[in-house]
Amino acid sequence: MNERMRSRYGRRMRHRSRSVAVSIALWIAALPLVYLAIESVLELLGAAPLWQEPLQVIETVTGTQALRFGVAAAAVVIGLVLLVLAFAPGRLGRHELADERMLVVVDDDVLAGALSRAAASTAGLQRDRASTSVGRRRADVSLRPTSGFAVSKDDVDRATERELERLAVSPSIRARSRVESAGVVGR
Amino acid sequence: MTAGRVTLSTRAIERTFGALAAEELGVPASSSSVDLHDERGSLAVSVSAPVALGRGTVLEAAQAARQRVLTDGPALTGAAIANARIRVRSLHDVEPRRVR
Repeated sequence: MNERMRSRYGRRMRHRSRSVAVSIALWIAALPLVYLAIESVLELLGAAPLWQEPLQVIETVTGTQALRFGVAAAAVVIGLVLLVLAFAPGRLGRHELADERMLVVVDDDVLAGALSRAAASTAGLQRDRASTSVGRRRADVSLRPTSGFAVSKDDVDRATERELERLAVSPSIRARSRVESAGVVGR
Repeated sequence: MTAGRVTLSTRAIERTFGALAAEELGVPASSSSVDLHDERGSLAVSVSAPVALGRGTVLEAAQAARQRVLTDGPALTGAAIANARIRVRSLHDVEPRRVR
């Protein structure tokens, strides 16, 4: 697998596909047109319309002031939704790991777990005392210390930094840790 | 890197503080009971124990017990103590009872 393919596949797996949005948009656009086409053909053949004659349909849909505004508003809303879907990056919470032979994409939850584990074991805490949230460029690690036993924030920072270096995720992440001021008694 | 870790159980810490206080109060360690709370990451210790008669005033004994927990507690367990409270629960008569 060459570099270009790798980055392309990586991108594909880290972003939401637009195919669903595209097919829905196409259906929304196609159904009225198909209906109008059917009515036109029926009119040409001189048959009775399914509902109304084509020009009559347009008249009915935009007849009154309220209907005109309603149709316009619906069009605006649909248009905005489609614009957002088209231009938003559609990122999924995932990162790529550096690997020589394979393309490895992991969910951010997995990275968060790895960082929590590194932080907790450095601080000498149970795994459930650390919680991490991973964003695209940043990870926030928060630790709940055991009452009476101080946790060194610097050590934790170093451990999470080392873990991130080892994983070499891309896009790269900076970890920030926080030791909560309130502790938990014992265990 | 060092593998593994050492942790003290809450119970062990409680008994240590209880024994320290009981020693100053002149009563058996088992007669003391200890509650631990969190105080901004440090421990808030409250010891409840009887006090033995005939060792100065009750207040002095309690004060000594408090001091003992505050100084020797961290030294023995490594836990930071924010504050310690001693509650004297009862008076303990340590005069040995004659058995006839």
